[in-house]
Amino acid sequence: MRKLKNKLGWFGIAVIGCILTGCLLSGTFVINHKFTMGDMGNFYFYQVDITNEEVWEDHSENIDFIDAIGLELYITSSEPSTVTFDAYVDTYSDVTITPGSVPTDATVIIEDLTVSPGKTFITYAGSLALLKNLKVLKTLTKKGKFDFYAETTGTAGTTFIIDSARVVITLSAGY
Amino acid sequence: MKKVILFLILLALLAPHVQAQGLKLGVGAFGGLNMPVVQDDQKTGSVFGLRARLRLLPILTAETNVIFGKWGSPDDVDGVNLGIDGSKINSYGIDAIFGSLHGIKGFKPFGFVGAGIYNIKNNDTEYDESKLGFSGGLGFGIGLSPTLDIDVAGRLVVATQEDGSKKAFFFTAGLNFYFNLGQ
Repeated sequence: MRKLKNKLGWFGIAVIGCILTGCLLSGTFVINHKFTMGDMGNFYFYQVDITNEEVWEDHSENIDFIDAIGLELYITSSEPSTVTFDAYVDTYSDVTITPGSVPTDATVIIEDLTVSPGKTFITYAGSLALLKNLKVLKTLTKKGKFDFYAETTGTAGTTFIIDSARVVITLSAGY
Repeated sequence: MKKVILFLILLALLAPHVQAQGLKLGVGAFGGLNMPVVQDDQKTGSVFGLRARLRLLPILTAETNVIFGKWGSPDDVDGVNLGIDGSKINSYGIDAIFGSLHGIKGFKPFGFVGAGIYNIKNNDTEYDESKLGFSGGLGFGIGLSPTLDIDVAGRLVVATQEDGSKKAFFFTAGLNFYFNLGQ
């Protein structure tokens, strides 16, 4: 009986020790990366790089997985009618010259979003319902860098501006 | 609903064993605070659970439980209102409780360790993972009579996920009823 009590006691201590150790060694963190693209006609390109973000620098060697990813987009459209907006992501290219079109192997993440004339604000929560191909997006995000493309169709050649954009990444990582 | 059914099945499986050996069974409910541990995307929420206890030895009790938890909506991140709900954390599992609980009046300290299947789900972000998790903690019961006690407990939960884990601390109070089947 005493031996059984001792064994159970050591087992309990071991399990609680494992739990406490795991607790201290990992957590869930949020990165908020803001960027601007300005007036680029009907094609938009930005190289997302979160590797200089403090959270990334602290945990980049021990990232377990990407929990969630969403966007915020502030758009001003001076077009006379509605415009269709699409966004894509692709492997980080590290190019110095802005490409002229979306690569054929890029992955669409926002498809056929209708944007009315005036100001449009797509919230983080709203973007979660719009985003497609999350698995690809999370895989690219886990690398810390990826290319972001967007294009509009139906523009009359006046102005369609992405005033500012933000990518919000939730990740689980160790210390 | 599936977890409740599983809980009732486990209870039914335990019942004949209790009857055969004349051991005491306990059932109860508990609820309290559900505090995320190092999770910037969650806030403190609530937790509620049901349990069934079987005394195996004078100082060892087995408990099966189902737990329904929800974290609160996250704070703003650098001025950005994420505008989403907190995640749900639901589980069913088994604990080993070290301490004398059944049929005793007065102060009853106890410790426990356990394992179970934890599901963490967020409808907004489409996060949905179910995996084995572990928990442990300390608590005390106050026996109001040999068949009725209240308890207060702190439970640290480590719910493993893809390659990591989510942690939370449950601070709960509960009410338990003990009885012998067949008497």
